[in-house]
Amino acid sequence: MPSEADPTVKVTVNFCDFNVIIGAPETTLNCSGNAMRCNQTQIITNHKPMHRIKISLFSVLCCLVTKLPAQNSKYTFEVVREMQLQFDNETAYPYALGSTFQYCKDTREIVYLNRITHSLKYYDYKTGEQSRETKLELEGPDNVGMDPYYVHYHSRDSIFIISRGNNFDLSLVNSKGEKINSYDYGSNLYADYESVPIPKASTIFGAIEVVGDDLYLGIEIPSKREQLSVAPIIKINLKTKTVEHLKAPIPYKGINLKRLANPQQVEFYSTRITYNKKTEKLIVNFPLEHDFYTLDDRGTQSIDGKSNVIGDFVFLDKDRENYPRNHFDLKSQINNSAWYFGILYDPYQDLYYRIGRIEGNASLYRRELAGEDVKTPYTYSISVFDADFKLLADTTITTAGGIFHRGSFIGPDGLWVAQLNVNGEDVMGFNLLSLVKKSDEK
Amino acid sequence: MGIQINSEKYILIVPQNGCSNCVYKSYQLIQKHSNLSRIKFVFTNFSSAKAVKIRLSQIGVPNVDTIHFTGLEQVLDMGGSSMFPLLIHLENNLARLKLLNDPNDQIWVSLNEELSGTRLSGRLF
Repeated sequence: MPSEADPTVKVTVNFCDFNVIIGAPETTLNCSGNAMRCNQTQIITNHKPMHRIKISLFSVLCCLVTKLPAQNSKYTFEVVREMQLQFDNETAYPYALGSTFQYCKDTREIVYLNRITHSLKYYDYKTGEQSRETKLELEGPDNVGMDPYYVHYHSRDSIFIISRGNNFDLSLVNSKGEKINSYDYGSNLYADYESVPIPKASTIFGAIEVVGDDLYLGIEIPSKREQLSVAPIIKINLKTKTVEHLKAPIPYKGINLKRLANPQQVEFYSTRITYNKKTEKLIVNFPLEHDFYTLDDRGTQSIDGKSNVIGDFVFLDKDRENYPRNHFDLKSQINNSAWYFGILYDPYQDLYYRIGRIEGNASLYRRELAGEDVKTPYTYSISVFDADFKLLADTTITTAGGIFHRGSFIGPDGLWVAQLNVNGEDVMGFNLLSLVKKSDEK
Repeated sequence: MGIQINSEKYILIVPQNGCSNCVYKSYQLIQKHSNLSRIKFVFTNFSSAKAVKIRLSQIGVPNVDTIHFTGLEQVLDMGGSSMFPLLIHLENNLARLKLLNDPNDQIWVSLNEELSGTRLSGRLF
């Protein structure tokens, strides 16, 4: 046994299916095998009231909107510009599950929730330079909860914070981090969750929209059918603090929920919402439905939003409890199924962007898991719809073009999406994606 | 892994984007034992080395520059995981590896005891 004073250790060991060779003076561990990866965005503030939303199962209207086939599209959607945010020494690129970025219309800044130091960092939209900071308190009278993970910037002094470990309390703070109010969106109202979803807010983007005195909260779709007696959207009246579930839309009506991997795979379970102030419509996205929904005072409408490039959803052949934890079919569904990340309304261009993940290649994935030097690519789909939900462009983008899992937001110029962090740890790059007329149409 | 071994008896490889409880346990261990020469802490499956260092600084680890980083591919190649920490024990020219994927916390207790120099209440390997 080498003593603590030994400057180096020389070790060779053979193990079942790997070789470890450790040699002096530097240790190297050699073998052959393979890798995996991980990956994950935004928001729009709105102020105009959307009164009298009376939604019931009876008022659900289903209307199919005709869309242009992709091949007839006059546009492509592509990277046209980039920008860089300058990080200080306590701010880092968001990790695998991402963080919230949002454009602050009133101050022309970008706000970023730094989940490591629990603070909001603001960057000048034009220069990318850090402009100010809001420290979030985890204890004391201004506490927002132990693990703030979602921010919705409504205005300089109305910032909503969702935190884990906060007993379903939504905090409202000002730019100094002082708590102005808090809203209980679940702990008292729903003593048990046998017939309604547990109010776990969605992440990255699309969890909150503020419409007049009401705040809409997109929450996790439950994995049990009996919990789906209501829509996974909560409406909180900010004046009266009354809380209620919307009655519609109910997701996944035609899906056997037992044929989905477990809810830890949040990609299949996140309800994401966006709001169009002009039309006073709330738009709702469910990951495993090609249709998306609009809600207004006339009721709920189903819109045909199927991407021409996204491929198919993958379902399990048997109920999930019949699969061992690491069964290929479970992994393959999680890694290869097509799904829709969410939909974002761009009020500046009057466009909707629907983000999805393109169906992966299961056989390639099997080879990857078996140790072959192949990689299943991660490709996003982006469908761009006009104000009437006519499809303008339907395109794909690889992670080299942007990583929606890490962050994105709508700014005055359009849709910004996080770049791979190839420019060093002190810089956060974003690509601007925009509609571009095809050359033969120019 | 391209990491120099001096007098270390243990190497703990932590997948930052892996099992969250394991990451939490690992951070607790680093917080307590980052100054020991008997153990080297290495992170893998991370999105940002800077983020890991900021996190460690936040919990009071003084010398974050002694923390190492390595690619996930190399860790998988030697039998590691993208999810669970890998503990390597270096002794008598042998490297023994243990994947810390047991939901039972005993291994973390034992590792902490070993590093603290207290009597082991359970086997490490």
